[in-house]
Parts: sequence; C-alpha cells; structure tokens
Amino acid sequence: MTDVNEDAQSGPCPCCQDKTQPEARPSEGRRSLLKAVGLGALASVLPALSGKPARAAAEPADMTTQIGDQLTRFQQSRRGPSLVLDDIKMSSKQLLVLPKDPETGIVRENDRRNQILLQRFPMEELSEQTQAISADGLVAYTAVCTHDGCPVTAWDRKTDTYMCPCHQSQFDPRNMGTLVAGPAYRPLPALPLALDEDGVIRVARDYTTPVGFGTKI
Amino acid sequence: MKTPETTKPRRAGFAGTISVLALAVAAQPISAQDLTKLVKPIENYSTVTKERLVEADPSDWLLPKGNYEGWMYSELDQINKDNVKNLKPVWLYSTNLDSGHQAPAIVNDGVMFVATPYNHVLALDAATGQLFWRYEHDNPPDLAVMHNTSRGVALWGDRVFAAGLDGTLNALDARTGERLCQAEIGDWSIGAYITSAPMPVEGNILVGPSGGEFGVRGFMQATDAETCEQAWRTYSIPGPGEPGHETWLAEGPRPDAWKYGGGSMWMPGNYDAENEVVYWGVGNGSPWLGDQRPGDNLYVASVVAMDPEDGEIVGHHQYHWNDSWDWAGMNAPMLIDLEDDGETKPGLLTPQRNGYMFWLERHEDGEIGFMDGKPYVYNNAFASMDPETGRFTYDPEHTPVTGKRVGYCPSLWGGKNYPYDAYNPNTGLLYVPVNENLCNSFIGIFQDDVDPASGQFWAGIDIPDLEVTVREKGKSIGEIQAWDVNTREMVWKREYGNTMNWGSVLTTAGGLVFNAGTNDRQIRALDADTGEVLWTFPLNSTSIAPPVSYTVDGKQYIAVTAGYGVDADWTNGVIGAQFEPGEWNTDVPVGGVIWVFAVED
Ligand code: FES
Repeated sequence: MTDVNEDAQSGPCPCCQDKTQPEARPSEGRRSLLKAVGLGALASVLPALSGKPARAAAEPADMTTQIGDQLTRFQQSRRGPSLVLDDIKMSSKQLLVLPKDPETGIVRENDRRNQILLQRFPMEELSEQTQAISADGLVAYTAVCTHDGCPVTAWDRKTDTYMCPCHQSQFDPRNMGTLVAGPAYRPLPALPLALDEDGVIRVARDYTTPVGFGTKI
Repeated sequence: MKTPETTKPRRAGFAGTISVLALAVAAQPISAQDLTKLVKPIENYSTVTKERLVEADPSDWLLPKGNYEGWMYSELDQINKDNVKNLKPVWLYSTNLDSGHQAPAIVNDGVMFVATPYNHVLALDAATGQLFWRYEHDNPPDLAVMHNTSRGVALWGDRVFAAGLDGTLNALDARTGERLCQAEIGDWSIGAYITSAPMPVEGNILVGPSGGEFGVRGFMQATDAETCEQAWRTYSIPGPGEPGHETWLAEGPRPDAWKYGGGSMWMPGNYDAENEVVYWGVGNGSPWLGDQRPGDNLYVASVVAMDPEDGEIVGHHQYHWNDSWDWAGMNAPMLIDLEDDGETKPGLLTPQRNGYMFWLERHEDGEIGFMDGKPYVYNNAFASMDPETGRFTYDPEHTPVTGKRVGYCPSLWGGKNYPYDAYNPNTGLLYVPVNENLCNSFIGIFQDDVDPASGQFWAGIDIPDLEVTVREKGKSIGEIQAWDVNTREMVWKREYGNTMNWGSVLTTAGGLVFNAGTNDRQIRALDADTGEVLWTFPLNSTSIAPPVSYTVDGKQYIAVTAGYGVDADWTNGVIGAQFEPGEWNTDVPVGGVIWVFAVED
C-alpha cells in the first residue's frame, strides 16, 4: 500500500495531461498495480489511492481526474452529490459529469479536461473491449472532442452515437468511443469505471488514450 | 470574466457602453525563447501609423480587407487579364498545422505576417518565404473552442497584435516576435474565445470574442496598443438603463435573456477615418430561438456605428429583428459612395448572412439610414420588407420556434458566411461569395438542463436534429455573384456546382477577381467584367482564407493560405452525405500552406 500512496501523490494529473507534455499516461507502476488488484479489490483500495493531497497541485478543484474519484453532475444547480449506479437510467442520453475528490468532496471543476460523459447500457450491448472498462454497463468517456475540443454533449438517436455539437463528429460509446463520422481525428478516450461497495461510481484507471484534440497530441 | 472588473459609469446617457478599469495582465515581457522561435530579427521594420493605414498603399496589405473601407481591392495591375494565365507559385510555406486557416496574409513593406489555427503567428520574408520568427501562443492545455482558427493580426507602431483562442490579446515585437504585453478580453471557459482579427484604430486595438452558441453576451473591447490596458468596452446588448435595452422584453421563462443573448462581434469591422466612426457587425442571438428572448433584441444581427474614442454606439441598423435563424450580422458593411435618388451619398453596402444585400446611408455623426434591401439568394423566411425602413415581416412557417421542427432557406450558414466580398471601383461591381440552394431545419428546445455561459453548447437545439438539405439537386450551391452597386442589379454570376463557396474575394486593378473556397481545392482568377475563368490552380487543400496582393521591389504577388477546417469541413461532410458517391467531393485534405504567386518576367 505504501507504493500506491506514493504513486497517487506523484503528480497533479495522472489522467489527462497537458497535451504539450508527451508523458500523458500513468506510470507503469500504477498500471500494473491496478491490474493486479482487479475490480473486486478496488473498493477497498480506492480510498487509499486518492486520500492524500497531491504534491504538485495546490487545490483538489484544480487537479485533473484522479484514480478513485467519484463523479457528480456538471450542471451547477445539481453539482455536488456523488453519483451511484441507480442514478443513471439505462440507455438514456449521456450525462455530463465532473470528478470529485472522495476525501474532501471538492469537485474538480477548474480544469475543463475533467468533463466526462457518463452513460449506461446493458452489458451485452458493449463490445468486449468496452466491457472490460465498464462497471455494470456504465461507460465513461472524456467530453473533450478529439477534433477541436468541444464538449461532446449531443446524442444522435438515429445512430445511437455521441455527436459533437460543434462540427458533428460522432463516436460510438458501445465500442470504445470509435470515431464513426465527422472531422475528428481519433476515437474518444475512454475512462474505465468501477463501483465501490455502496454502488458509488469511481474512476478505476487512467484514460485509455490521452485526452486532447487536434493532430498535435 | 477571469479577472475581477470594476464598473464605472462614464457619463449620463452613455449609450451601450460600460467603461471598465484597466485589465492588463502584465507588462512583463515574456522571454522570446519561451514562446517565439526567432530565426532572424527583422531589420528596418516600417512603423505602422494611422496615415499609412488610411493611405493603404497597394504595395502593402496592412489590414484584413486591405483598407479601412473594407474593399478587398488592390490597385495593382501588373498581374492582369492578359498575363494571368502565366501566374505561377514562387514560394510556399507549410504552417505545420491542421484545422481551418482563415487569416489573410498581412504584409508590411516586404514582411508578411500570417496567423494560424492554434494561434501561431508567422513572420516571413514576403519575397522569399524565409521565416523571421514564429510565435506559438500559450493557450491553456484544457482549452476548447468551437472554431480553432484565427482571422488575422493587426499592425500598429512596431507591434503585431494577435488575439488568442483563450480570449487574450497579445502585443508582439514586430521585429522579434517577443511578447511585450497581454490583455485578457474574453473568458474562453464560458465560451468567449477569440477568432477575429483585431483592428488598429487610433492607437487602440479593437477586438471582440465569439460565443453566440454558448450564451455569451457579446462585446467589443478597445485595448491601448502601448500598455495593453483596456480603453473601453461596449456590449452589443444594452444593459438596464441603456438605449435599446427595452427591445429585450422581460417576459416569458427567461426575463433576463439579455444577459446571455449572444450578439458576438466576431469579425473585424471597418473605419471611417475622416469622420472617426467605426462600423462593426453584430452576430446572432443566443439561444437561436427568438421566442426564448422576446423583443427586437438590439443590437443582434445589426451593424453598429461606434465612436472610437469611448465606444459609444452612435448609430445602428438592425438587418432583421428577433433573429431566430442563426443569421449573424457579423460582417461589417463596406464603406463606399452610393447613388441614391440621383445623388451620391456616403454609403454602406453589405450582402448579409440572411440572404439580403443592404444599401445603407452613413451620416457624419454615425447615424445609419436605410436605402434598399434585395435578396441575392432564395430566402423563404422574410415575407415582406418595408421599403422605407427595411423592416421585414416573417413567414411563421419558416421562423424557428421552441418545440417544433421548422425549416428555412438559406441555411444557418447563410447566403454567405464570414468570407469577404470585394468591391472594384473600376468596374463599380461588388463581388460576393455565395451559397445558394441550401436550407436546413431543426427543432427548437428549451435547454434548462444546461446553464448559459458555462462553456456548453447552448443554441437551443439538439445538434443531431439539425438537418441540412439541398433545395434542388442538380442546381449549383457555391457561386460568385457580381452586383452593380448603383443599379442594384446582378451583372453576372459564376456557378461552381456541387460545392459550397467558403472563399473570400480579392479584386484588383488588373481587372481580376480571385476566389478559392471550393472543395475542388482550386483558386481561380476571373475576368472582373464578365466572370469568365481566366486561370485556375489546384492548391494542397481548399483555401478558406482571403487572397491578398502586394509588391516587393516593385513586383506584384498574390498570396493565399490553404488549409481546410472548421465549418467548411463540417458542412462539406454533412452535405456530401446526401449525394451519391462521386457526385460530391468530400475528399479535401487538411493542412496549412501559404501559397505565393507571381508572373515571372
Ligand atoms: S470540436 Fe467536435 S467535431 Fe469539431
């Protein structure tokens, strides 16, 4: 556990790094550890992961998404309460959410890369790879469009895909955020989720690919 | 805003203007090494003065549209109808960037400045294409914008001014690219990012943010070119107590709609330097549905005349009241003399996004009078026009409302969008880059699950519900039209077929009209009198930036930057999907390249 705490303290931004910094992925150490603990063990591991203040970031609200974070709604009037599995209706439009520090309850609202899309599907509708990052059919992706960075907040009922309101790029949430149409450059990075023992939704691991836009990643 | 502001009323009856205390971030020079790659400092840089901007010597291209009047006209005639067939590229420069390149090359005495997506500024030798320096703006890593583009830089004194997508205005040393000071103008995190070219006017740099799709209240800010301190700020939507505020009725579910009513001033304006009046265009209403913000909604979809001293709004003409179509009035009308009732009058002329061309009269004090309005593309929303005032009545069948699907023509991108029209005083013709034959429909929604000005799309529609349609397959979409400014009739038009036209127009004393912007990547030179195509050249990508002309050592060049992206790229995909394979070219590569052409001796 000592290693885990050390790792959690090592930087402000394990999840979504500045695109000018090439090291946008977590250290191998953390990745292999999470693989080792597996989802079953995560509930007990997560508080320890996130409970310490980070060294480099001044305030939890300024930090980017951390492993172990809980999620809350983006909308100002409903921001705060942690989301649980039952809050997310099956197969409804994606919800725009933000991560929050589970220790202090502070919402990490100051870095726009923290905006996350949350949605829930019957597990069998998800691709095999997507199932591996899903918790009970819940899937999460960055809201930052890989084209020019707009929040991907629209849902196209006709094709059952996310649609970016800025230039209509479309991404498939059942299949790792695959780019289906539009001018974007690559799939939407996915954020692996877990549920803790109270059904509270948590960030399980780092994004599958770096968050950012344009071709200059 | 990011930085706290203090509001201080200037004087009683001060229309539409709020003066704010200085908002300069820093006068500390930031090391050129940090943000600027300096290859070679520029020697003997020619200082830019008001006199030079007013004179607009044709050897330079000092302003986005070439002159303060906004003509997109070059007096150069070395390249002309006879020899344009010999026009060849003489140098190219890759910007090393994707996304939409929308900036004209700004040329000062043989030095070229090009602004790019991601807010780089390149300073190049205009004769050879050798780089002097490249400034890379330090946009925040979590930046997001709807339009990753820049529409050009401003020159004043020995400085280059570049607006950032992060809402800043940056003063660079023209010789080295070093940043000297910076002003924070818009808060990008709420959607107030900047794409516009800043404009140098009387020692201030004028620029306003975008945000009409995000619930941002538009404004224009003047920043002192020396200190980067705010000189004044004028909101395009008058606040309580200001004239025009009464056109925002405190009715319905959003009685405070004016606070997030849009009206971004996102394209550079024009300047009457003699009478000292600036003319600026005001964008669409936010959200798009007019029934969510009852009233005429001044100064949405208008031209406003402002006093450059203090930003006071001294005149206006609203093209259409209670905008419900996303028909922004962002392009300022050009300043030309117009004949009216047998008299020559100082006028304003503009083809607007709503599909109508407007002839307006400008008075010395800035008041704007209405002369005439005529459709240049099919418009099914406007039922009639009052010939005295230009006020329209609307067809409710084609006026978007909340809760139902409504279709209309032209599409929300308009009869023309941001690309510049051009005026040639030799032919007396106005050349307009047009998109005809496009319509769209959407369902208006009341977005109460999204907060306005929270950085989220807040246009009052769910974007998958937007349907863009070609009115008549087989009929051309992109075209260029030439209108006699005085007879008010179209003289010729050239149709480009199955493509939109996203290209600004340049016209020259060589009797030529240059226009790119089509999905076949061509730039073409047309005969300014007849519209006949005299020369074409396929670029690396489609150019959606204004072509310009200048001389170095007496030799004439034509410069244009290619680099497809943002709305042009978006619409090309959406419309292309309605055609059979092979009928519409959706294969337009991205990538910025500056192209410079000349006729070799
Ligand atoms: S920013 Fe999403 S499609 Fe352009």
